[in-house]
Amino acid sequence: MLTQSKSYVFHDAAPREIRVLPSIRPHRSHAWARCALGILAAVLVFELTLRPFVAGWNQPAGPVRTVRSYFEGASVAHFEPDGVGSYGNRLTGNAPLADAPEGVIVGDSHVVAQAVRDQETMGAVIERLARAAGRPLNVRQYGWVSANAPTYLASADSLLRARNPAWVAVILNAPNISIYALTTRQNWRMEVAPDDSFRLIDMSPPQPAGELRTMGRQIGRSSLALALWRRFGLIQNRASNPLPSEEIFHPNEPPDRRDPQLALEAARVPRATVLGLKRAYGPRLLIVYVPEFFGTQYRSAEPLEQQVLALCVQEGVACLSAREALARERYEQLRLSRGFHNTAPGVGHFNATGHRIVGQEIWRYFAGRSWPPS
Amino acid sequence: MAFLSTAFVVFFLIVLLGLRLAPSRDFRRWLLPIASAYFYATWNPPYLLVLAAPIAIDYCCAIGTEGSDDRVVRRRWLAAGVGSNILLFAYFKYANFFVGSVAVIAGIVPRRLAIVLPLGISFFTFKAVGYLIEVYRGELKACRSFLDFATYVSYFPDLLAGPIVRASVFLPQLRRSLGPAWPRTAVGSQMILLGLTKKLLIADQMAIFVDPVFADPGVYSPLTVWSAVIAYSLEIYCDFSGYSDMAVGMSKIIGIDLPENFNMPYLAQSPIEFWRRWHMTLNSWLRDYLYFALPGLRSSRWHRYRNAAITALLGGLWHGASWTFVSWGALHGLAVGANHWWIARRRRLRREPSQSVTVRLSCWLATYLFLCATWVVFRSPTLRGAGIMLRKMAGLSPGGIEWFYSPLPMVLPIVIAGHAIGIVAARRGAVVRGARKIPPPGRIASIYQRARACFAIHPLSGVYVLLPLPGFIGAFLAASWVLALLLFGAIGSNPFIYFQF
Repeated sequence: MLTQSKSYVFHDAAPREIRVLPSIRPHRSHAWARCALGILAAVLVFELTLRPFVAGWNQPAGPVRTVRSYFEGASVAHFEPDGVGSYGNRLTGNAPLADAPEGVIVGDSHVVAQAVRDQETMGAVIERLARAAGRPLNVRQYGWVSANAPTYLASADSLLRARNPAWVAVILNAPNISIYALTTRQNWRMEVAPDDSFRLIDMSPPQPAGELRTMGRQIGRSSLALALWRRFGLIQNRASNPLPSEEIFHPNEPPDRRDPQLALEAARVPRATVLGLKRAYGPRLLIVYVPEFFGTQYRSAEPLEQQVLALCVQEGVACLSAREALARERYEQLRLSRGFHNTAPGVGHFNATGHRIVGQEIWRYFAGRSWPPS
Repeated sequence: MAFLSTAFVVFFLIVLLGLRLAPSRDFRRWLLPIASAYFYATWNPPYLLVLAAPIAIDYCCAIGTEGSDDRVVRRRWLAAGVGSNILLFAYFKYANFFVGSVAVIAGIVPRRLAIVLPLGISFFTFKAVGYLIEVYRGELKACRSFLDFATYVSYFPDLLAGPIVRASVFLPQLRRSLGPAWPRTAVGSQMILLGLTKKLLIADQMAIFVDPVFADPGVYSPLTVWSAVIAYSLEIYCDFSGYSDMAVGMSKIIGIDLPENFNMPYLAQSPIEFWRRWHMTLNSWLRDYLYFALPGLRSSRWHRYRNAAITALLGGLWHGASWTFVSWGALHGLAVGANHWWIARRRRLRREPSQSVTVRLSCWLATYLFLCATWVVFRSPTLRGAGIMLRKMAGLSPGGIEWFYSPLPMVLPIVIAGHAIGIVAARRGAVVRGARKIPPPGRIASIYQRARACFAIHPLSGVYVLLPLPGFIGAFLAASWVLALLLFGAIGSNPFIYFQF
């Protein structure tokens, strides 16, 4: 039993005396060894507890990579590492059909879709719809975390060579074709000349040397290390970018907040992107514009969307916007297409509803057409 | 300089190092006011004058008050001191509200004055006015050391959002040997950790959900609105008490004890009890310097109810110059007045307060629901927004988006467990020589015994286990606590809610 002399309560705001108790004196024998063991035990407990929730960002690639995350929902996503995309081909959870044509979806972290289950991804929705309609189809999904349009352009050759798809749906949103396409420090960025020609620049960090790489992989096996690494990344990201995305990309943003030269160049990005995608993917291309809806308001106008749709008509590129369908779901079914049970309402990546709607829209476009287009 | 910033951590460590290495007591006495002035100046250097003015005026007024035996002269000194503080406070806090309200009544477009509210003005004004009144009443001798008085008013741990420490409690402590020492540092560090936990793990997590729902309540379902209101009740409590814990903890490491500000307010079974548990230093200030000062307290019981209602109304207005705060204060004023009337009536009828569990649970539930309803008025940007939310809560406006926010049910057990420990601690305690000896509370005691921990149970804010760092379980608990904060705390912290007041 705990002796009474070890227990104290201070009962008022008057100066209090705190007795130094033997058990909290830091200079007992073996004290620091026990302390170190206690810390190690805590680390071990967290490591084991986090295993079902955090895994896979930095693990050595096997036949299937499993990514677990608890930052948006609590999900398990599977990838087939094939050297393309952040983790490879995002699996759909449906068994692939032999000799069936393939469709490819290209995009950013919305297509990586770490926060939804395999069967909830837009690719899985399209596969199910196509097969139910009697048209066998396999869908491959390639997404890059924090990617923009230049990455989709740079990856076109390798994607087409690797998969030879019947169609390619490129998911575009405002950030993909904004100033970020020029300034990003991840994946690829672009420089756009006044005549809308562009140059792609690889921003991938150099691979660490042998020992560092091995060490990184070993650390990558730890769920705790991965979770802390990811958390610090998010905190750093928040600190360096305190404005919510909707303010960064809001059309009413005062122009003086940007570098005027950069703003001029940024204005050329949508056109350069549409032209570049058309050249890279040819007649198999479908551009799917997904508006940046935040929270519960689904009515905000996006000039970039209008610009992309107009450019597509002008250049003869197949294009659709998911705006109407997403808004219908929001106002008629009262369902938000973004966000998860541990995020603010409507904030974050596409949830299962968002994936379903975008998948349905893509299928609606392809359902009445032949693959590949003549 | 925000509490939750690297700059503040560096600043605080430098202050501690200065106190520790100071060659003399005089050096330490200079260090605190200089550090506090620097802390305040990092926000807005010119506003240092707003902090310095009441220090200088009140220092002189207090000495003037004490120096005369003539009641009229003493009153004039007091009026000069209190008046200057109130004028400064009212100008910064209420000028726009006043101008806006007059413009609305006159039917003209209000023009907003470019006034920036000085951080912490409410709190240092309260301290200064309280000091003047204590000196006037003869409860405290005027402070002859300008340095000590400046330290009292500008003391950085409690400068921005309290607790509102009385001069009679603070000033004698400056005679102590200040600076970090092991047992104080152990307790203080744990209080800081507790405050951080409340802020990052609960308040900021709840804010993620609360902010969008309060911004546009009409689009959400009644259940979602209810969840957001409960989440807000947790957010505001953990935000404010988290700040208070950090302030008390930091001050404890420095060597100065600050009073506690909260005592499990959501356990209150009546509005009166709530105010005895919530923001206690403000409440006791309002009671001592406003409620008792209002006329008619002893003439009739109706005057007592009226004074209680007026005090609560002014307490609401203190929170901010807007009709939502006025309404919040008025609602609490009415409830406190009605509560006094009810108690007096039962006393006249010689009815004892019921000990029945059902009655007490009903009282608790009714009080919590009342608090939730008033938090809606408090938090909503407009009265119209509050009306929409209250209609949703009452089920008069069904339909809307359903949003389940999982961190809310995840933090509820933590909050309930914290309160359960607090209740056990409060019941087991018995006062002995300035500290309470706690009889071992059953199984928990054996766990702690194994942990070689010792209790430091605070009757007002639950249990602080003095984690024995050299021990295995102590280190395990401390490391787990820090890891949980790192892994599950909100990403990016919001400013403390009470900084705006």
